[in-house]
Amino acid sequence: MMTEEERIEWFLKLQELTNEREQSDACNDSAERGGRRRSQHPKQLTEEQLQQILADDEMRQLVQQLGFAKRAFKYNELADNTPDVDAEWEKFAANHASQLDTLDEEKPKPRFHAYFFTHKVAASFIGVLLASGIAFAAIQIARNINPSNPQQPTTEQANDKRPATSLPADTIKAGTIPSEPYVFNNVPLDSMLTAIAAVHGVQVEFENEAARQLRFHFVWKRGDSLDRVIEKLNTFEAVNIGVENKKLVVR
Amino acid sequence: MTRKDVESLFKTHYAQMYHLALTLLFDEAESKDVVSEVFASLLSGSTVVRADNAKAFLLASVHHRCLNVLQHKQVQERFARLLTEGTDTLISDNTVEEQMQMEELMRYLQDNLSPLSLEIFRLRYLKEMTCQKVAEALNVSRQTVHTHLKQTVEKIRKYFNSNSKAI
Repeated sequence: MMTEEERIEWFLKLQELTNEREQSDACNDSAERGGRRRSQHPKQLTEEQLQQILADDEMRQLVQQLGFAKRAFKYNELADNTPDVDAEWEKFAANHASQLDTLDEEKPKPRFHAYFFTHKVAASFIGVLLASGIAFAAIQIARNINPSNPQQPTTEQANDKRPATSLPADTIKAGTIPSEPYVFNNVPLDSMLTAIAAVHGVQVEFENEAARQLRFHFVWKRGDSLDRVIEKLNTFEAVNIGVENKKLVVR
Repeated sequence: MTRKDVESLFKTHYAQMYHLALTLLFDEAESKDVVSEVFASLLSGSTVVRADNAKAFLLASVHHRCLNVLQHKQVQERFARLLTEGTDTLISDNTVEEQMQMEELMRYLQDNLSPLSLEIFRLRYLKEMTCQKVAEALNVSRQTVHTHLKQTVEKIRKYFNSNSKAI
């Protein structure tokens, strides 16, 4: 067994070694020194060897604690590192200009506006064209409204439902999972997973408490396997769910 | 969501998100990229952010992305730069609690170590200089650098062991 002091010595030595090697590419000033280093450490430390060293619990703990200390030092200095938010926004807006424009275009008003200005009409036909233009606009509006009408009740219905409480999850047997998709509209992950887990007969565990309250819009295809559902949920930015012996673990 | 909404989320939360990324990645460019990616993902419209939980959502997204970045780094780099890797480190998701722990550790170290020891640790690990470079910068011997680092590491160990604080 290594003593605490030996371990720290060893750790510092290993670190200096990995550091020197990282920098040796940058400064190949002295081939002689490099040659000596190689002969001192004939076998360079490979990823696997390092992994083995870190497999030692005490060593890993030491690295973690120092990593946390490094974070604390950094945190302590954050006041000196205030970003220029306005400048960053300008940069972001410039890089994503087309997507940001699309966001605004999705509002109906500007599109109508654009329609009128891209179709300029000759003055002599203005009366006729204006009339037909209005008629066309009316058809357009009617078209826009019509298909959305039958959709509205379904989304509102989904909206009102609170799946965790309203879904009779307990009563659904695994064999009788309905295949039509179920829409979670702005529902906390907590309730969502409880419902999904109940149907598949697994438990839910939140290692990450903050994740409970994340809200999502998610279409749950109930015919999908549990793995497939989890895979889809994991595509969300803030979600990391693992499956461990009949348990969903949210990290 | 409109452009205005995105802009307002960006301007309200950018600094905090950037700071969280910095304390995980320690690299300004990488941190800015991560925060920018989180906002870019909002533009695709697949995620709906509500005003009342926007902050928690955005910070969790940054956290998640940073861990991904770290996991894709080589073990050697993580070890050499003391990057807190992966899920087995149990980094707290509660940012406030975590910040309090960091402040507490910092206070302990400031009370129990000499300014020189703190500066050596800072140059060695935050500035990522080699012991040789640190020695040159502070005009001390390499052995002195080593001794101070050892003391600092021992103090950090002592802090965690005496408080039986697990991270």
